[in-house]
Amino acid sequence: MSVPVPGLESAVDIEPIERDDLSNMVDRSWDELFGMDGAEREEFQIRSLRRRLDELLPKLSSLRVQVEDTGVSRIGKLEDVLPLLFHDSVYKSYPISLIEKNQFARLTKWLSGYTTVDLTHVDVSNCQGVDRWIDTLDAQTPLRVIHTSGTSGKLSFFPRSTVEIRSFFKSHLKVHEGFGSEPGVRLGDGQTRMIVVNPVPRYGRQIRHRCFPLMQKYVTPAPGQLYALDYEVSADLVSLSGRIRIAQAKGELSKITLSESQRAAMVKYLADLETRPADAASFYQRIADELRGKRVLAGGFTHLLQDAARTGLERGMRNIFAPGSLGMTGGGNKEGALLANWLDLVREFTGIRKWAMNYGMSEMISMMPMGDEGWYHVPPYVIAFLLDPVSGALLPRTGVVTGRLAFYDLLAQTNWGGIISGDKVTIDWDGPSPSGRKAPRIRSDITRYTADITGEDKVTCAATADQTDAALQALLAG
Amino acid sequence: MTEFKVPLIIRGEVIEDYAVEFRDRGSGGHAFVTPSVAKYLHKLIAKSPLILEDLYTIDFDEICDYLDELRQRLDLDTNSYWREAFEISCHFSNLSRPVLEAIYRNSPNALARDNVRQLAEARIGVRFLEGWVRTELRDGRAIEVRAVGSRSVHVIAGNVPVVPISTLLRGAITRSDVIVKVPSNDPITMGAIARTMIDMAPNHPITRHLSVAYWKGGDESVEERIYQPQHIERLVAWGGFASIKHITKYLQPGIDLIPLEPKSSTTLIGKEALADEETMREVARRVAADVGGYDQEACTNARVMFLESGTDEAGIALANQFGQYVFQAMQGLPQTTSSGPVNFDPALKVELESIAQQRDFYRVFTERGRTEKTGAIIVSQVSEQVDFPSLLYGRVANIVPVDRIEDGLDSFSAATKAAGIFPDSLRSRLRDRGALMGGQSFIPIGYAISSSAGGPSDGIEPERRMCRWVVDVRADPAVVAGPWMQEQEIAALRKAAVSSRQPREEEI
Repeated sequence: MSVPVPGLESAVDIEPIERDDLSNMVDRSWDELFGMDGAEREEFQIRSLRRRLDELLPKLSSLRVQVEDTGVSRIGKLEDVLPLLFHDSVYKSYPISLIEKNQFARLTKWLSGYTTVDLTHVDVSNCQGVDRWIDTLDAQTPLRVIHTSGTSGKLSFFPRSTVEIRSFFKSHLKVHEGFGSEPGVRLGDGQTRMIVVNPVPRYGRQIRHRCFPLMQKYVTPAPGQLYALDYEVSADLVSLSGRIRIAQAKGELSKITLSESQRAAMVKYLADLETRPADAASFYQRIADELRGKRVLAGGFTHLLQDAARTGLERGMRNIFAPGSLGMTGGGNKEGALLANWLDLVREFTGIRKWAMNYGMSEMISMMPMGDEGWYHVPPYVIAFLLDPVSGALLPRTGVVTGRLAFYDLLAQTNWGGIISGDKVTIDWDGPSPSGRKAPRIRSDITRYTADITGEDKVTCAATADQTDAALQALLAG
Repeated sequence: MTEFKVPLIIRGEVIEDYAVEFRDRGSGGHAFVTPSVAKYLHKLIAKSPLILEDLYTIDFDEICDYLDELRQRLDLDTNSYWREAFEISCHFSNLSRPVLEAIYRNSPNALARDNVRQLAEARIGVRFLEGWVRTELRDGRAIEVRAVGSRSVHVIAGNVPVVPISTLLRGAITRSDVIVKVPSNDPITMGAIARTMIDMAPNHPITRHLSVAYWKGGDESVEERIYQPQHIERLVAWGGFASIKHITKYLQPGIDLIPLEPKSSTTLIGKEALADEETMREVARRVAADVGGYDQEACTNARVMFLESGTDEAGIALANQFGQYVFQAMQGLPQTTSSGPVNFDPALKVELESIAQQRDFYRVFTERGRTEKTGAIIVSQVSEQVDFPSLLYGRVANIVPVDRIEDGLDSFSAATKAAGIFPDSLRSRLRDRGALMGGQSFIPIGYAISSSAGGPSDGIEPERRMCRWVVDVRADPAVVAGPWMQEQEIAALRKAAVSSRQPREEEI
């Protein structure tokens, strides 16, 4: 089931950027990271934040604009960085017409404002579409752009480099390491190896696809032992309905055209989407014989795991994998489809007792592991803030507080790590943590700020009709 | 946090059996209580169409008298209902207090006798409302046509509280039974009008044909029972795509939907506006009113504006200068026209802050740190709209430089409510094509929020459509041939018709 993966390996000629000591923080033990007391942590954070600002300011034009506009260029205390944080939507602030008109040189120039990687000599003149643009950047530079799903609007492009992908990879696996006397396994440096099982599309340009080559290099015993779905996630296809939505809001639907090959690809993609949940659910059934009794690192979206477990248990499949296997899941209960006992079902089906959970997002390089039941711990290389969701004012960094999560991510070495997210989270700033971790912790009931702010049942005459689905069907009919 | 009371009013009766609470997460947690509409449905539903008969005991002059007296009573300084509606709207509406006050002071003027007659005459023709209007046909027959009222439900919009007055007006002149479903962003104004009517003339037919109810839009336990062809003939639906889409599921033969759908407006500014400094300043003042009027809460407001500045460096510089003038002029608008919205959409704020970095693509004119109050003018530095046109509220507009102003027509669609065009000569030149492209009204720059002059709305004539157009055919068998007649009888009729006709000059 293994096929060469585009991405890192297709760009072997590119000199990787050297990781600095702050990026290497991710290799330290949890004992060291969560052993820092508050004063020590804050001293480290202020010092490191100042350093990141000093390093990045001369190289990032976007940050220079922000500094000019706000007049903030020095960090006295942690919250001084707030005016310099970027809204997550900055990473989709390019005009979408650049994509519609294949103006990828201009899109590259836009992106160059956000990365220290030199993009001046990149030749994107032959790019038709976002996929080819990202692939071209991969081939000619150490940049490893990741994109979001873009279903609700534009694609966001986060300018990661090989350094941040490596840091994300380590941060992602670090959840399996124990703190104190907790059992744990250190993964990602090639010492301990396991078969990797993850029923998500194997190819693409989102963060998980960027990690697969590293998984094959540092985790699986042999390159062919990464089991995933043989699909590609195409940025051009996942973003089509979002592009249509924006075009109709602008009264420019007639400007969106599809070539015959794009139309065929989209029709196939939509057909695949219909069958994919079933594919993912049957994935475990298909691999069960081959991997029965083997030690694996299993992953996947929570609701898909649950569905696979239900189907498998009905067919009498139990305890498929060997003791010592590890699981990791995420994705939460977004569609409300999770049963109360989903974890029990998944444990019984797979035989994997320990299912680790991380909290993170495409906007972040660092992942935050669930240390206490129901709480994610914020490692020292993430400086978290909570903001008032409407005014954007800083909320107290003490007690238990709910607000919009903003952060500075010190693992960002070639891009600015300051982000204001759209997540509504509750932080317990000063613990104490039952597991003994010294860190602020984020409660697991994380949601997005949406209808909370806009209200409901308001009738207004000023709006735009949303007929995305009809327009999409018309485009596909040709 | 305050709780307000929204009574249920059914044809002259005020019901204050408060049982249901509605809490609006979007308005600082303000809440109101209202009776359960489901409990009073048996009263609210007009079972027989003959309920309208009493409206035919009054003539049009009496309708005008009634509305004119009501206009005088809707006085902010003396009418406690009206005052309360204004005060409560200050909590629920996103319009600023001075703008709201101007609306509560001025909107009743639409009920003035002469206005009412002019509207009825222009949109329907008073003689069709007052009796049967006869037309002689060439074959000897005649038709007599009358516009009669209907039983109607109005799902009204709440973004600008002028809708209750126009809803009442449409119902009264068409002699309709009107049930108004009020929205959560203006639950109170329509009821204040109804209560004033009850105090003024409790038994008057117009009073007895207005009901005002709040139920949560989409509540099937209420809507499935009201929206039945044996109970209503017309459904006038304002507002959001989702609410209209939802309502269409109740449509069936016998119920006519009159959609006042979601709309937006476009502005086309020809190169003449940039002729010299003085003209630029003057046009900018008028454009500022189109953007900022009603705090940009209305569908007629300017949002995306095409400017024929050219797209070369000099053109973009000119567009930036014009954008700056518009922003400055917006700050100087009369408080009663524009004071800035109560709440500024945080999503728009994020977009503005995000594009502020994109100097190759956008110039944002605003007062940094006070954008929520001052608004902003975004000047595109390439000939492209921003990618978030549907978020343009709170006095934020986008100027898009173009080489040929005709290019702006490309963005017209069936959702183009109004097009502000400068200069007038350009309007004359573009309006035929603009109309075919979907444009529904063309207005002079500066008059976006005061353009309503008794014309059609949204490309339709709601007043005419609220009526049922009934025809009475007249035919005298001594003159008009009938299908029961034999050929020779028909020939005789024709002969008689020819001989009775006066010979015309050329026939002599």
